[in-house]
Amino acid sequence: MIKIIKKGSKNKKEDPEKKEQQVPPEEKVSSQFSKNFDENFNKFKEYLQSSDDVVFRQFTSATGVKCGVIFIDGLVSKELVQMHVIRPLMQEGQNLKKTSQTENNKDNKESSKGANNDKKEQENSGGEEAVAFIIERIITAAETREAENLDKAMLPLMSGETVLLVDGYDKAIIVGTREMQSRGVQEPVSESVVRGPREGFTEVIRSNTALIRRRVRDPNLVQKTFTVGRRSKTPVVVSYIKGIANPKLVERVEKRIKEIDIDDLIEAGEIEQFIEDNNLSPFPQIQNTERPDKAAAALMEGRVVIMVDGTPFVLIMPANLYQFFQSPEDYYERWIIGSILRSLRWLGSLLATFAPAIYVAIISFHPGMLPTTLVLSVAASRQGVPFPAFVEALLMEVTIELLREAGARLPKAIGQTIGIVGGIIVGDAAVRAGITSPFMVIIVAITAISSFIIPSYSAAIAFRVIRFPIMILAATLGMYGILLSFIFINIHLVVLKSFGANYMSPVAPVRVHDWKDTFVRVPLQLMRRRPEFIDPIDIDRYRQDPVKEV
Amino acid sequence: MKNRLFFLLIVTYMLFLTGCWDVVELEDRAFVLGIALDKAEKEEDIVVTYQIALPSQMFGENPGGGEKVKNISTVAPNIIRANRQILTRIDKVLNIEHLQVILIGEELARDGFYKHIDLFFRDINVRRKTNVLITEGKAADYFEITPLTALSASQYISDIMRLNESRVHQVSSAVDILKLAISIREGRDYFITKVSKAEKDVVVSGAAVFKSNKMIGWLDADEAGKAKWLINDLTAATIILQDVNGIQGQVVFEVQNSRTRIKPVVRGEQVEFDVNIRTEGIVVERENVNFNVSEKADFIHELEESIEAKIRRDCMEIFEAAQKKYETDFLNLGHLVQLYNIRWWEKNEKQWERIFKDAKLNLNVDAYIRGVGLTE
Amino acid sequence: MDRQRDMDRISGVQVTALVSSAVIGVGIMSLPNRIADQVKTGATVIAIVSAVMVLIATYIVAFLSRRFPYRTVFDYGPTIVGRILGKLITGVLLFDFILVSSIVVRMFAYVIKLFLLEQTPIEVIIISILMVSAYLVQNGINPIARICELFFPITIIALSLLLILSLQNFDFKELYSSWQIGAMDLLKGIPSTMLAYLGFEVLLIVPAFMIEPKGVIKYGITGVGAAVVLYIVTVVMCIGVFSGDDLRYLLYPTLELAKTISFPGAFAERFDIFFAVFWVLAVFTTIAIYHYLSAFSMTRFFGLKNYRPFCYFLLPVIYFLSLSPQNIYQTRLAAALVSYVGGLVSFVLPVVLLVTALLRKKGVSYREK
Repeated sequence: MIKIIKKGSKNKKEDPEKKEQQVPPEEKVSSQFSKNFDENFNKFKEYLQSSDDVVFRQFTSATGVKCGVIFIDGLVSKELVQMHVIRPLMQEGQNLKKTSQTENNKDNKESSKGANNDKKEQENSGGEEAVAFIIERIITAAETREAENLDKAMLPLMSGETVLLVDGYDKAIIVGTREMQSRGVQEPVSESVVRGPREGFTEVIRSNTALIRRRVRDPNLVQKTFTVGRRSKTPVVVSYIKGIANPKLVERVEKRIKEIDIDDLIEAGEIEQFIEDNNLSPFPQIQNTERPDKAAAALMEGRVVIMVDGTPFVLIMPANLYQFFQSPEDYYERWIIGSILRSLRWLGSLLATFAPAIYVAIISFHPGMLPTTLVLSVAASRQGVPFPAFVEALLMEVTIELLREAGARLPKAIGQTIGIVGGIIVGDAAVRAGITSPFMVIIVAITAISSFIIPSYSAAIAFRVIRFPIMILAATLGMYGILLSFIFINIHLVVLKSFGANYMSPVAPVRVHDWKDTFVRVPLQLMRRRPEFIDPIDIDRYRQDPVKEV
Repeated sequence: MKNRLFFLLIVTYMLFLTGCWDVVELEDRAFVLGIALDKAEKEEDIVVTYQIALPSQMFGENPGGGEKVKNISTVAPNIIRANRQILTRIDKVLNIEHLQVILIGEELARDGFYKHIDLFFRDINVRRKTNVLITEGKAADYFEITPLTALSASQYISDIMRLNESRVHQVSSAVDILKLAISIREGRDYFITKVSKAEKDVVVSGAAVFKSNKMIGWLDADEAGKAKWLINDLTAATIILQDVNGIQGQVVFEVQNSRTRIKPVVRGEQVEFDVNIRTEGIVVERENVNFNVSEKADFIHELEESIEAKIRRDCMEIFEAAQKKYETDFLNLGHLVQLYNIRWWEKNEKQWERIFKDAKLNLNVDAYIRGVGLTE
Repeated sequence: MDRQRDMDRISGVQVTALVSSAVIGVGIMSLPNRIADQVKTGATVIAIVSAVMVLIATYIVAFLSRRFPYRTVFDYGPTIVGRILGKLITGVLLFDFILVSSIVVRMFAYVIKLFLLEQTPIEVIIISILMVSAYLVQNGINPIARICELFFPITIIALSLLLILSLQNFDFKELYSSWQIGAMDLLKGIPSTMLAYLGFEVLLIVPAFMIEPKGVIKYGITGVGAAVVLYIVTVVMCIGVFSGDDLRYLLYPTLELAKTISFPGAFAERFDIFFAVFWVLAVFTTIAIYHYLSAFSMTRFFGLKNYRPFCYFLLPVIYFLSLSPQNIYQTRLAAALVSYVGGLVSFVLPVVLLVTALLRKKGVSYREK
């Protein structure tokens, strides 16, 4: 069960570390910095020297003050460290001494700098000013901040920032020097479209936030960082547009994120499982996507986007059932095409879910439903098939699922071929061997193809999964069984909620305005409002001036 | 709460898995395409013949070799018993959801078959469009006929009814289970399509007339056609005119549609039927090539009049045949009287037979020749 | 007690869907037969007159509800007639709802068995539908309303499709006699048919959950109106296809109507199964609604708040009750009995309550606003 971790102290800057009250055992060593450079430097060394990729560079500033930088090779831009941290200090540190002298107190404290803020306040006041001076006048890097103790310095260090220690100062200076190898922006693998942007998110969270900023240049766009995972300390960004997104929604999302207590967080999916409303349901209540355009559109609707460092998949919430049938193409193409495609997808998913079950029901219970010639033809083709229709269907469906899973693991080119060839060969061979009938193969093929039509992988899986219980019910109770399962699924969907929004909205409860974008897509000119079910605070899309809202 | 629900669900699921009571696999079913009823030697029995499809012969790997259907006969007092008897001889479950046709042998029809047919009305699986026909001779024989263009005799006959009943007016209108049920239950008289044998196939034309649920006679093809003119709306019929206006030879008129409206008028105990028939069609053929059909307006007019006269004659003939020859209202005109004059009907229903004999027919026919085809 | 703020709420449209779904249920299968049983002619007239009377009764109930916004009859009943009688009313309603649930379940299971699952034990059918109903009902009135919203248009469309398609067999002449009827026959026929339209009594309880109770009359009448229109058209079509006097013999004319339809091509043969699918949806909503009402009234009868345990407790009750008629004859007797109790509840009770309320000046009048 998720433990509820108490919120950190009320002094909230953007400091994520404050949330973690429970300190991993190793960090119980005193973490306060002293004013002695060597002490501080060694503190870091104790922790990290067994790793070769941690670089410890000690040097002397121009004024003769001992300084040192610590960084992790591979995560930092060495250029930045060299040119904008070490060099200025080494070469221009003249001013350091001079100013320290002019500002009185500091020079006397050449030795150590730094217990906690509370204790030696007076003594440190000079020290702080000196650090401020360094930051303001000497370090030419773009981003800097301070860290008062080891804890606070550790995370940035691990994330690719550089720690600068200066003798006589009791704080560490954190310089922003991140630069890491990453995949670079590519076409999203899982969601390609025929028409539309081909940018996909990458594993680096900063580049992802940038991709979104590019699409939403609204200053009201908020991107807040949280840290999730006690050891992994993965940065997680919650993004929404202030003034559109309902504050209650944002609050809910943030609250649930803060409640997550795990060791490591690798993928967004793990967050999804922790914060979703109902994890017993096969239906996803949170959308995920690799596409920035989709994420940006969601933000504009008033939804909240969560990005996780290390994965290109971002989460969008709240979600309703109909959203999983939307593809960005629907909007980039014209509305008639969009509508037809949308309806086609619905048809496809219905087929995918119910086709095998209906086959079983008709063959085993109600052959009267088919026209006579068809029935006789099917009966003829089933001569010699040893299994009842249900077993046959189950067999074939399981085989297809196996093929599909196998195909997913293989490299792209081979995977597709294996899928097709495998399907044909297996199907044909099965028919020849008398294990199944040709009709079953057709049904299974239709089912398989139809299930690919759902744009969202998570939702497609849901439909694939529920196919099997429906088949079982069809095998025991025929059409009545299928009906029961239909009713049951509908009940489940109707009760399901996603962050307060009804999953089945806008069909139940009826919100007529939202129908413009569910089964069809009406012309953009008519889509004047944001979806109601999300309950945004600003519902009109057109004719508003965002900046004034602030 | 969720856990409890889950548990409940699983328990219920297991309940279902314990039995699929209604499952009968497709290959275990014997589809009965046709049922033939004939008189048996013993008074209280009937001979029931089932025409069962053999799908693998019909659609299998080598079609054309061997019989596509299997005909099984058995003797029993009623159909239910016959069903049971058949089940002891066949390795499949009988399925009448695809019953195409029910054939009743002439002898049985004369005795009255209505008591055996109630089963088909009650059973929910019988299609309402199943045709009923009376056969000349023994009904079972008709199943032996292997048609060239259909998979089985039953489908053959039923397809004739389905496709061609509306195209040929000598084919008496289809009587399906629904209509028959209503007629029998309401105690009306009726007539049922007749089917007779030719050398290698069947001929569907004419009808059998029933009075008090017993067959009393045949209507031949012409008579059946006349009956259709009188009481049905037609979509196809032909009229052959001889020697119109002194011009030698035949002229053939094809009806494209025809509408009949009958309104009964009651006066005391007298009934009169006002019939309005309106026909449209084209001339399709003429024997004598020496004149142009559409040249003179008068000629068209005369043709029309001849047509009208012929129709009038035909209708009157069948009407009088019903009155005098058969003494039966098999055309079901009584029901029309009931609909239009419910009060009168309630009083006089019992004497309908007598009243019908004295009923009069007022015919008003309008024929329109709309065209003459592509040539003069 | 009913004024809890945490009750789930429903909208006006949902009320329409609810009421309509409650009325359209098992009755539609056999209504034309019931009418034809009673009278020889004039079925259409009876259907229409009954419908009108039902609409009036709906109006009365809705009006009564509107006078006591956010309160159910269990709450305002005692206000109007005193605590003891109020308790009695609650008891009668509880009794009625349980009976209706049972008989509807029974008739439903019977038709399913007749038609889709001949060999399956009827117990299985009953248990399965009750389980699904419980799954829905345990969540409160709002999900029920949403399911009704979802299924209602589907049912309407399917029924309309059925009626339109049966035009191919429709003979308008058959209707001529159905317009003529004597006064005696009319009086005889109306009671039994009016009771097929039962369902609107849910308006005694459901409007309490409305967000805006003002519109209850409008929404209620629309819902019941849609249902009765469908019923009337069904009766008309049945007469036209089967000829009025034959309806006496057909126990399930609506089903037979579906059987007569043939589409050249797909599903030509058993359109009745296709139609049955939608019918099941309609009946399910009826069952769920009455199940909920039974649980709810039981909670109020015992003065408790949480109806969930009753929802489950009622399952075996309804189960055994639905199995008690032994054959079709007893089922029809039971149905008649239930109809009379239902009639009492729907027609007599609201009138009495309303008149008393007006006389004693209880409740909120909208004219004053």
